[in-house]
Amino acid sequence: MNKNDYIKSVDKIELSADFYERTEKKMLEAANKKKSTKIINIAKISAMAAGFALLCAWTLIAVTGNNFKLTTETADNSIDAVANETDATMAGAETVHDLLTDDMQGAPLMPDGMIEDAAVENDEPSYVNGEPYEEVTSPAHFPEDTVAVPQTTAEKEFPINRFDVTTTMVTEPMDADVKVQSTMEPTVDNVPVATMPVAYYEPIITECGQNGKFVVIDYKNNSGEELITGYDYFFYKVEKGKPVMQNVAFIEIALILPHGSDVTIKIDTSELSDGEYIVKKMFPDVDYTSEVSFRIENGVVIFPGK
Amino acid sequence: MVGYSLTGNEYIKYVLDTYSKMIVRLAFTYTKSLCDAEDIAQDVFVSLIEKNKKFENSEHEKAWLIRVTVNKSKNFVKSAWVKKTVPIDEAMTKTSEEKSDDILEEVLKMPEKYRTVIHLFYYEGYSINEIADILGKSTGTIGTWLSRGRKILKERLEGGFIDE
Repeated sequence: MNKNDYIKSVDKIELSADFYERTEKKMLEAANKKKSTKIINIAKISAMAAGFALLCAWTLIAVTGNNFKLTTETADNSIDAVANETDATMAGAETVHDLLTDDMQGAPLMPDGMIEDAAVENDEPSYVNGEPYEEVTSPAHFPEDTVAVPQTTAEKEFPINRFDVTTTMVTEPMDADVKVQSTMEPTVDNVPVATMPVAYYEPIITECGQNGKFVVIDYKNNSGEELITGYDYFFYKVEKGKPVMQNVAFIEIALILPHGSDVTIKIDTSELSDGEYIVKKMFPDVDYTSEVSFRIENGVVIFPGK
Repeated sequence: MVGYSLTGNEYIKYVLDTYSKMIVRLAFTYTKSLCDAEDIAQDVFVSLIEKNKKFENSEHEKAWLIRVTVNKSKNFVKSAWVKKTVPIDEAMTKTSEEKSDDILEEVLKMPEKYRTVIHLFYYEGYSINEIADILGKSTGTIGTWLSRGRKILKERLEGGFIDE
């Protein structure tokens, strides 16, 4: 027998008839899930950013108070309003109340008492030669409850329809023809390390030596996420401050089982000389490495802090 | 066709057409069960989509898929469920000490590390250096495993095994 016999023998392994259909469906589901997750994340970020900006704007308004009334638009409007009142009053109207009720066809804007107070305030208009008087720009002329400047400013800065856009994105039905390469998250090569909490992969030493022979290191998988693919273990001895590869000491690596299991690395230290050692677990896909170190003194394994 | 330049459904169809048999057959050398091998292959393809891995070329893509398949297969056979169960066909073959004329059957009886190397070397046509890269082992280790695997096959197969 030779390798051609092996190839022929393996070629006899045929896939189930529905394998392609089932797998394609699962892959599409995964792609859609990925796409929807990304869109939801974008929407969340947009909403948070807009909310934060709105909060900042309101905070700024609360802090600066009446200073916001000095905006050009408001000042101009107010100037016009006062100027109109002044013109009307000068044209012979007895009170502002008369002007308002006449102009608004009997729909007074304020209770009588308040209108009369306003009329008193406007008994002596400061209108000079057709030019707006300087007091117009003074905050004292714009009681807070009658001026809508803060809201106007906030709406200008942070249009409400931004939230509408993101909401639409979230509820938009997924396109079945997903562009896998273009719509999914950045490649794993580009996944920032920050997305994986460092503590997540930190090794936890649970047992130190069995009859002085093994070093047992557990990597706790806290999230239950599958961590199987694409990692490597490396075992080094530190010599003159530099790690020197020593693969021979590995006797068993129990790989991580999916969904919350631990992984255990057993290292036969019985033939290791005294010195410092490092075990590195590397995740090439995410460019992340966790490591644990220990030293052997007189044949006894000692972990840092123990 | 260069698969890694495709998008969407085209890419999914491309990887399925190109790699399904390879992945299932490789997984089969671990699981010894077609159903389990297909489940592993599905997981591998889903991982490919979820990770959205960008490959430099088709060889890189293939090597990544092999690596993931090996890892997932190892995890499968180490799972508590599999450890506690013995496939019927395996239980039956273990009773036979006679020499076999089915080379695949004999390969499947070998220790896991030898099976993988034998499969990648003879079926996929990878060199020792390439297998070492894919599995993350030293070339010396792979060479040793391959040598021991051949020796086992020569001993167990009727008429021996000619390495050509």
